[in-house]
Amino acid sequence: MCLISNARKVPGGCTGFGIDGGIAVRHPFVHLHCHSPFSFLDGASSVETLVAQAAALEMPALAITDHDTVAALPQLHHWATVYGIKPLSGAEVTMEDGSHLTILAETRMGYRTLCELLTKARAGPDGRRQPKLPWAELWRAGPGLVVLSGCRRGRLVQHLRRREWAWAREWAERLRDAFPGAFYLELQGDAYPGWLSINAKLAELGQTLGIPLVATSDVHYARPEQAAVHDILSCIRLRCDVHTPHPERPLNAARWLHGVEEAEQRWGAWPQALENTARIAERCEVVLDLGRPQFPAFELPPGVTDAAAYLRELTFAGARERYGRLTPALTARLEHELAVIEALGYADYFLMVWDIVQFARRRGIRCAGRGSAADSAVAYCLYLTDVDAAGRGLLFERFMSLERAEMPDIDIDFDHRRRDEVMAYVYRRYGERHVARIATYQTFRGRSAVREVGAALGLPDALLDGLAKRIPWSAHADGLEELLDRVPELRVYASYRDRLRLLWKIAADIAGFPRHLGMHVGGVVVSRRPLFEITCLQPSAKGDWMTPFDKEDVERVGCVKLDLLSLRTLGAMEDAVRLAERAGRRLDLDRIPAEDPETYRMLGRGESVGVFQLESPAQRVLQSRLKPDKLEDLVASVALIRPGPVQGNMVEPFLARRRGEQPVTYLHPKLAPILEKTYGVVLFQEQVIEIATAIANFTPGEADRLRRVMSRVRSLREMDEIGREFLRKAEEAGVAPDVAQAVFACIRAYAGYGFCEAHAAAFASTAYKTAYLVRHHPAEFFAAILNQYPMGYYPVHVLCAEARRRGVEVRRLDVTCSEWDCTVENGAIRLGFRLLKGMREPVARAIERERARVPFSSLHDLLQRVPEVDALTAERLVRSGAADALHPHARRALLWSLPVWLADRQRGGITAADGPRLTAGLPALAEAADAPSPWTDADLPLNVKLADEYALLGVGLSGHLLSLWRPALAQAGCRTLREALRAADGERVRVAGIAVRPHRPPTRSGRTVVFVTLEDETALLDAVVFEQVYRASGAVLFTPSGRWVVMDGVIDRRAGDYPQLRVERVWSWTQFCRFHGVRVS
Amino acid sequence: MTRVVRRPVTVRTDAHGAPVCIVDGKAVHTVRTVIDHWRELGAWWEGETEFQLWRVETDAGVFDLECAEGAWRVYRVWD
Repeated sequence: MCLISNARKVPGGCTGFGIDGGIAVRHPFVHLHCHSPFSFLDGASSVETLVAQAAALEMPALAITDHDTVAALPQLHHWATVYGIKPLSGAEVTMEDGSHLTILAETRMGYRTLCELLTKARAGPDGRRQPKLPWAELWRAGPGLVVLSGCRRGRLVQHLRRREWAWAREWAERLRDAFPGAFYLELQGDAYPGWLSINAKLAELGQTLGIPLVATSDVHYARPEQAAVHDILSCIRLRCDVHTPHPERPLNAARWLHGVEEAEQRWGAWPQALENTARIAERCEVVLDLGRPQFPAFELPPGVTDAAAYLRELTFAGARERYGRLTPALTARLEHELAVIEALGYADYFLMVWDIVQFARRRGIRCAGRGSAADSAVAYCLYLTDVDAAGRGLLFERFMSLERAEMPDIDIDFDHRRRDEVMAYVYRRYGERHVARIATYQTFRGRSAVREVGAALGLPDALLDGLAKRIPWSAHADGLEELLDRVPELRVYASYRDRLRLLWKIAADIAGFPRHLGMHVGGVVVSRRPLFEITCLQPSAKGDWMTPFDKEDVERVGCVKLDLLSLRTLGAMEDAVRLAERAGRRLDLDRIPAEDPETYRMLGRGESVGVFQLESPAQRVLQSRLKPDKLEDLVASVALIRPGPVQGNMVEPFLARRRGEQPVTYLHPKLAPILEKTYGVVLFQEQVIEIATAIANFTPGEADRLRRVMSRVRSLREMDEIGREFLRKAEEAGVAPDVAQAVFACIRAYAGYGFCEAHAAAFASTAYKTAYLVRHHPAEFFAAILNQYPMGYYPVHVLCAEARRRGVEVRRLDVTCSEWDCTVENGAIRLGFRLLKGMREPVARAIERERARVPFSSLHDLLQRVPEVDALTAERLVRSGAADALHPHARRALLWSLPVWLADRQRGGITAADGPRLTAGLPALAEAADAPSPWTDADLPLNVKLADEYALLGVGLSGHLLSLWRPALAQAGCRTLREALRAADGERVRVAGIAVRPHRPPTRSGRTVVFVTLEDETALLDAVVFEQVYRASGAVLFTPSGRWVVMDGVIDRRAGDYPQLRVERVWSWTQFCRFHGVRVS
Repeated sequence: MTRVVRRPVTVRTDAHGAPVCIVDGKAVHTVRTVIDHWRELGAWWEGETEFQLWRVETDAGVFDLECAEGAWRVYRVWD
């Protein structure tokens, strides 16, 4: 493409520059120095906006040069293709002296060099936060780069600004000689003080040294009005507010993506600088190929030459293991899947994943496949998933099809503690130059935008803090203003509306911009070509090297992406097995009864706290109504409690038909085999594909497109288009028009809540196993959950309450017998040191080691023998009650004694002989718990002890906080939750409790419904707060005052055995206590 | 040494918008050289618009001129 020829003649040039025979010649101009939001708080327009602006200005190309990264390049290439311009790849590199240099990739080799340079810049100390490229590395760089002298922070411009002419000249010569014919002096049009003279000096230098000039605007946003957003982002980056002058804040609004006319105004005196922008754009290649697969070839065993044949061999060997004998139908299905896999060239990919899973299985690392891969019988036979796709009749085309030809996604969960072993294996197997972790970007969302933009605008901290805490967690940064009207707890801020207007506007502008770069939990990229040909690398906080591309961008550049996820539930299951074996009971989770009636009965009572995927209040209600008795019910349950089915009103019809209260009917006989297992209700994505195929003869690819259009609900026009296609083809297939329309209306109603059956089945299988553990091994499983904490839905105190409800004693943390992990002692859970706030494993292990040598005789003895226990840890051990076994009822006395003992220990003056003297008067190990102590008030009051235990362990071991208030609460008419659970349907009750996980899921009507679980010293009770009550009094649940609440309401037993409280009024604790004169006992 | 004065003046400009003459009350100063020219964002959060600054040498000395939305002021006078 010849860009120079794009110079256009326009009549009536207004600037007087480049006059040619009465007609102004527009010089070609391309932006070669441009920052996107991937410059992190230094780019105020999205990549698409920048590309769209360049295209709108009829520019033939655009370069993105973010700070020290190529993160934006996949998006640049994508949008450049969409808008029809040429993408130029580059980066603004920070050198070791802090100066900037703009580097563009001229060739693919140059791009590789650039990626290597950017990676080397990150390899130094603190390279993760402050990359710095040694100049020596730049001098060694090979050909293929175009180097521009840089912005105001470029070394050359700094010399010129300091009037160091000789140094400037020497430096320019050095760069010219290092990059012959590829070094340009960058004239910036930033309209900063001194820019005209700096540009003049650069031009003079260029003329003297024979270095060409190039014009750049150091673009940071697409249009001038976005300068304010850039200023705010700069303030956030510099941690100042708009009232604080800072040299790095933008001085003006000149750094926008302007057109040729503005360029001529800025650099009209140097037309060569303008023309060179197009020359450079022309000489630079497009260096990234989007969508071209970079799969690595799987290393086949000796003697095997064909990956597809090897995959076939492994698949059928696995099939014989899984099924025993192969039916013709199964063989045909496997043949079909293998043919598709081979035709699309994914045999190596399957073998790769198989190899990784084999490694995990050999090492005894628990793993399970999830996602649409479970639609594949081949994946099942290779042990990649545990879902029998053929047996369940799952649709392979949902996973992959010839027409779609998209890269399949195989996600595997591993026990989270051993996932790194699997990662290490992948690195070893494919080589460090071909494997890297994948990045993930946290973007500005509602709360973070309010806090950060508000602080940058100089709004008061208290206002921002209160506002951010009340903004719903899921709120988007571009929908904040409307929340003021919609969310009752934000009502108090309505009077600030005008003051906050600017905040809303800027928050909306930066919605979705990357704020923090992190490492994806399980994403790994594997490439056939060395990764530097595709991406630079940078270290994560954990020290792993990762590409700055996220999952979508990795796919865009054609790399294989593996999701090696870590699932704490698998760790908990493994822990439960280990704890059972430690107690002498053998437990093999692969051999538990397939349909255990007691497990299903437990679920049917809604007693599913701790069960994977089935423990939320909504799921517990569903279980009690559904009364599951087979795995299919759990598969449906996993899919039903999702925003889509709830909004699509699928839950009630499904339940009514499942319970036989409604007849199961089908719009067309062809739908019966497809919808039979979901009682005629469309519940899974696979069913949509099958319906389209059966009714309208859609090809698998067309059907999958229908599924995608519907499940994403992105375009009504697209939906209408595909609807017309459906109706036309259905009629051609002989289906009556009214029936075809009814079928389409039915699947259209499904839009927006698609859920993959294979994924649901994979999760249901794990859910069943955890339910079995809860039912038959509660002590082991709840101890295991506590060891994996944070995991699941509930906090520690709820898990302990549930364990107690199941008759499992929960014993306090104890320095004389606790271990790092929670353990099981004669059927009781002994809390482990890991739950103690701030406790480190080496300290706990030191206590365990020393105790095993000789038991501790006192806390003083422990402090003397375990120097790893510092003052804060010692205090926390005392406050949490971990020293109670050594000194019963003496927490206050111990807290007073600790400073003396620790000071003595620090002086080295403490010996074993001092022990009796120092601990004199303290209740000792041998004394009875209620023995008289010479200390008066040696112990802390119960309320202080409980508050300490909740704060440090997350659970009260000395009792329950509510029990302190119980007499007064009873006088004020409050029943215990256990009493409320026994109340009749429709009975009015008043209850008090700790509010656990209040949340507002989306509803069909769009109205707000709050679900919250209450906990007191007797039980748990789920409560529902409907819109009217939420607006009148329920908003307090989402404020700091809503931790403890009193609720008036009606017991609702429509969910069968499982009562819920339909709330009529919510009292904050202080409000209730003041109103009713309630005081602590 | 400089003095910040922020006094409104009338300025005549050339075709490119550059000042050529400053009328300050009864005094008229002809611009000999434009020394520098830059732009500043201003307090945009308070509704201010971007303004331009010109450092010019006149027969009466060096002035910094500020132009916001067509209104000119002598911002600073250099001794």
